[in-house]
Amino acid sequence: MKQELKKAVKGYVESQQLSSEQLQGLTHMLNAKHEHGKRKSLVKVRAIAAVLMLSLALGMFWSFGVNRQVDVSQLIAEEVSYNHLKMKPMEVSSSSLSDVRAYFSKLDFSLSQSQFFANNNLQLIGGRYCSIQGETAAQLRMQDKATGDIQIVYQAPYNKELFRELPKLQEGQDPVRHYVNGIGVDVWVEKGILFARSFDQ
Amino acid sequence: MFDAKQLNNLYRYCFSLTGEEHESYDLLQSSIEKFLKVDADGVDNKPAYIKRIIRNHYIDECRKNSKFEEEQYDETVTYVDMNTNSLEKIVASQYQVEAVWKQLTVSEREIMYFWAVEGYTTDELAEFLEIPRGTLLSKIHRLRKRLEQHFDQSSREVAS
Repeated sequence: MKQELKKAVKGYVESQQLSSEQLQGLTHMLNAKHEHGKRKSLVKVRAIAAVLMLSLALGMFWSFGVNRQVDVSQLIAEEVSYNHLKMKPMEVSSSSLSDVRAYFSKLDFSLSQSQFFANNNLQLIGGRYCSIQGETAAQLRMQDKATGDIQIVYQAPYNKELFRELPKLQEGQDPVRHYVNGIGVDVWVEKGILFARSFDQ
Repeated sequence: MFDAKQLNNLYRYCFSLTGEEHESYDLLQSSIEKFLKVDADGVDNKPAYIKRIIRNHYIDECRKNSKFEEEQYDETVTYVDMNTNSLEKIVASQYQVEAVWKQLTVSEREIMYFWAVEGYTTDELAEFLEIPRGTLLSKIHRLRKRLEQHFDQSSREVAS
């Protein structure tokens, strides 16, 4: 139905909205920061009051750090599962890692092969740019040679301040696994790179 | 800090810049991260403040990826009786808007957004975009021409 352009533009733009997962993720991020700010203030007050209170505050801070670790990997899993379900078109199609690497020239790190996939029967088929928690990332599509199933591997520079503590494969730790909307997501750190893998159940 | 309605409004602003859903979410998310890193306690109008962050962040990212091209405008030309009112003479369907949306430049989409969704006047728009009024008028002039080319002749008739 034709109408004034202003109404048509307003109607079209206002039809765009965040999905409930996206809204939840952003709200979570804002609340986490809010809680973080409140806790920091509390620590300052107690530090001035007494040294004993400072140790208590440090204990609280440590506790917060542990919670934050879980939250961040969960946030990554929610974002990654969303990408997996959207399955946007690939920007480069190739089974050659060197070809794909050449395409991702705007990354601030070099794409790496993870030992996590050493025994998997996966074939690289291409990739596209994406982001994880605001960090520019590579999204690599892999296909299981036996079943034809698609898995997506994400790589982003490991920003410890942003991602906090995550399992490090080279230290013998196993990836942390989440399930979001029927999508399995593994998250880990390896060679200074944040890795995530999403796969259908 | 921001409720669901405000977050959706910010997402729509991102959508006016990127023209694409997924990129809009990425832009909003990374801008909120930037917002959270600065001390915004003393900021009165946080939605306006974060819109400025979103815009600067998007332009920075585009420049980094060589996607952003400065457009050249002839500011010496006088555009008689040209302001956002001239856009109101156009009629179109939402489908037509959707079809032309991605074909528009970033600044054209941004003008459409602030004009149609936020209800900005030409002066308010020029102030937010930090460009001279003459430059904005030339952008609107080009935008109108472009839309007129895209929409049917019948869509351009003024509803009397």
